Amino acid sequence: MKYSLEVSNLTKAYPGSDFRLDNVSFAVPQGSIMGFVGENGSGKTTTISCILNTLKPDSGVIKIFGEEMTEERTDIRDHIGVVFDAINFPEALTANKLASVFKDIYRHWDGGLFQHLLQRLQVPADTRIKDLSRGMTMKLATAVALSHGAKLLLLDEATSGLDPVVREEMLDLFLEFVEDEEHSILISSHITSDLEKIADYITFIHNGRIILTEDKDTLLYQYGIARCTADQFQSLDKSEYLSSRKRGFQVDVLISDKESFSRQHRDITVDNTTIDEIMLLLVKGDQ
Amino acid sequence: MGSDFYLEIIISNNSSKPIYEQISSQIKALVMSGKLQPGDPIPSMRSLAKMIHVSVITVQRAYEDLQRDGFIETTVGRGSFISAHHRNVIHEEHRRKMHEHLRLAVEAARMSGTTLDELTRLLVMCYGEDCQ
Amino acid sequence: MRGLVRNNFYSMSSNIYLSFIIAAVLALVSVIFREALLTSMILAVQIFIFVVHTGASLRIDETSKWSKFELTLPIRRHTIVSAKYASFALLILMGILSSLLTLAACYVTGLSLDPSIVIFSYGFGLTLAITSAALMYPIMLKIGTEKNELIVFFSGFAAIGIMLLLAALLAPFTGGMQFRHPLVSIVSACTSMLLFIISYLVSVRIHRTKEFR
Repeated sequence: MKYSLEVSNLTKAYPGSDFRLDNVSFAVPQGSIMGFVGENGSGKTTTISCILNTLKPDSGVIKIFGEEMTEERTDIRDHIGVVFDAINFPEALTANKLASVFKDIYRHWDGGLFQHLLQRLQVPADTRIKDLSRGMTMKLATAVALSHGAKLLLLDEATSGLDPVVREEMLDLFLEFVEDEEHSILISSHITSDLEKIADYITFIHNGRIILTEDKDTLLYQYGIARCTADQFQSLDKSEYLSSRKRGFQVDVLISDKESFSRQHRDITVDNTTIDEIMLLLVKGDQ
Repeated sequence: MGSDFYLEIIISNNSSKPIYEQISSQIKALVMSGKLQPGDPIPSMRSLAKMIHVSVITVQRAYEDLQRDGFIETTVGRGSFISAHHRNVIHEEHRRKMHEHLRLAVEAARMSGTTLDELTRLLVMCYGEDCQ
Repeated sequence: MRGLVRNNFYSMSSNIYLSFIIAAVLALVSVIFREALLTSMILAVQIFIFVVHTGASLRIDETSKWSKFELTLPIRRHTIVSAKYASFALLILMGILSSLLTLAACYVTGLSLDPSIVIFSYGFGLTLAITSAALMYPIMLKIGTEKNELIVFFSGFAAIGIMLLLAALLAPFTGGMQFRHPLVSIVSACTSMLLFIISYLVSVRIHRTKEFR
């Protein structure tokens, strides 16, 4: 299996702050979309910044397309498309001016594709970025990321603040992007419904630690939440579940194999689950 | 090639049936009803994913199931096609369905206290299309 | 680097237009009043007027996270710094150009200036402009752009301070401390250019390891 991105034992501490990335490890297989899920402050942006060398890790190995990306490797950066959770570009520029700037910087800049994407996403090409709404600037940043021959997209909350119609268009663009088997995407998002649609894998991060990486379909159809009475919960063995949480009179229990659990506990109701619920149970539950 | 395809596939997001199962069972149904013939091409995994707006891994799982059950064949460079060798598999599929339905019927019969004779009579009636 | 320099100019374009208008107004004032001392001050200010906005510009780069995004481009970090300094140089050249035009306008309208006053104007203007740019950028790299106006002021005053210092050091050669002596003007301008080069090397160093959240 070839990986577009491999993060191994990434650690980063901020002096004067409690927060740190603690042995973060995960890998994005080539041709796939990985969703990066975690609450605000969990370390998503820090991780992505370390991957891109805007922050210097304390330790760990990061490989992109199989190689470590040092500052000199401008050739690797040429194939990475980035959208940060910010305006990203100088406010006084317009999309067209931005294009003329990037034409001289990216080696494989495709101006025609960029214009096509601006139209498709309905981003006005001659309006100054400072006059664009947040949603518009994210669309613009996505258009840029897709217009220079990138093979890996790193998207930090690229769809937040967008209405469902536009988000649908963006998700389509991402699926089109991975039609090429060598293209991959790492996308962090609060909008887990988007990830449930297009992600192949989900990685959960909390307090600077990776708590789970799994197939999306496994999470949605094999994982489940058992709704137990207090007695039923007592009867469970710790090895049978991942996390539990008392809610009112019941205990919600996260299990990784609905079918086998149901066979052993025919009397316990097991529900299908969502990424949000899994996250809640992993973060707020007792392990 | 992708845009020329029309596959009668409906994806329900609210179904408890996983999407990969919806895809594979609907394609199986199309094959069994003859709407897809052996040799007919089907979209590549990735273009189908794009067309129906689901993740690649979901389609991949569906295709793996279809391949394992003998409904499709995938060759590198040529894409995926309906397999010509599925006839036995269709038969198997039908048998599996019968078995499953009969099992459910027997369970229902047991729960309602129906005897085997009564059940058999019901079966004969239905086969003769005298069913409600 | 060409793309980055173009970007810097697009980014500062409205400020550049503003400076251009101010320079034009100053030129007009100079021609109307035809006063030697006033004109010499105007010439100096015109050199400085284009580069004075860079503090605000760097501030916006930081808040929009463009300075973070830049790092993900297929360029070396030092190229980013080079483009900045090239932009500073071009802005100063614009200042020089506008002051030269003003000077020409003065001569054409009959105002004659003592050569030593002209040398002082350019010496002072260049020192102010080049030293400010040379101090401003590395300071902002090190401590951030929040106090950018303060830093620009500080750099401006530091420039004047340097000239005063040089005037004092050169007193033996100029017959007492003479701020407006041509020798002081020329040495100040040269010193500021040296400072500019040193500043570039220092900035490359700071930027190389700087972290961008």
